[in-house]
Amino acid sequence: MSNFLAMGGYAWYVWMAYGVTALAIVVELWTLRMRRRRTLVEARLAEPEIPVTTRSSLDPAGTA
Amino acid sequence: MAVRWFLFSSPASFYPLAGRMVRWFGWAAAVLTVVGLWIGLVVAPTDAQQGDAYRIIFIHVPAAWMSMFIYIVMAFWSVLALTYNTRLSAMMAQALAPTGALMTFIALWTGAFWGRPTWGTYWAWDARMTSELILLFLYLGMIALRSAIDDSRRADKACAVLTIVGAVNIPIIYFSVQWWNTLHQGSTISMSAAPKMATMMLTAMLIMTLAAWAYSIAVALVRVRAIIVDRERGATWLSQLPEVRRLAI
Repeated sequence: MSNFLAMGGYAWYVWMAYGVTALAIVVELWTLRMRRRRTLVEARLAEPEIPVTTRSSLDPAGTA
Repeated sequence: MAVRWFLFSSPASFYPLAGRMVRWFGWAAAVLTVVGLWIGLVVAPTDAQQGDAYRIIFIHVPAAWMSMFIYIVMAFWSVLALTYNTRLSAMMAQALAPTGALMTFIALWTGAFWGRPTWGTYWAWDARMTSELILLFLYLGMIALRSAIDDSRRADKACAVLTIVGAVNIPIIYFSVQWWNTLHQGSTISMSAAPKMATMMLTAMLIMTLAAWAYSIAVALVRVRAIIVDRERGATWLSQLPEVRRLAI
């Protein structure tokens, strides 16, 4: 196992390449998840039949 | 029988189809990544010249190919958006830009960490690397341009024009290693000759390439769905969606 992690002496280069790639993908997936949630909530808020009073609990300023 | 080419050009009919496709491509990406990493990091032998540093190839090459291919697909959607004035085409182009930027960043980053042990430097201003860096700026420029224009239909047109003009950079990246003397090596894989790589290495690289494809498609489809929800806000079909309806507010 430690042999595997050592990568024949190239551990810094190999794991920096793989690690930052993994991190970048996680960041993309996370921001995408947040974006999907936000757009769905905004779509729900845009519906006219929702009374303004309940709308204000999530968005007090009414700017969403 | 007439093929109904425009059936799925409407956001309302494309949205559920994209949702089903996300599941398939998402799972394909996960499985292919696990198999590709296993073969690439464990099964494939150590390279005789580069030692284990060469293993960066399994993310570097797929990401670099993807960074160029995503741009070509974006340019394709941009041409459609300008020609037919279809909203969904512009949304597809918009959805691809961040993933294109991500792939370009990964190609540059992994290239730097591969270049240091093999060439002795993280970065050089050679034609291949510089043109790939310009590609990153094009993607970022596209995202910035869109966020700078409030009217989304105007933003569609401006971004489409910029994308099509910027496409000139793609052949420059691709042929840079032939046109100029670059520190970056020429291509290892070509359609006309046998690959200059061991079978296990080649297998891992091709599986990782398929994984990158599946990932990019899945992520772009999730993003285009978010863009559809954002831009179709107020439409009746959208408020009927179960994922919108069940949100308790």
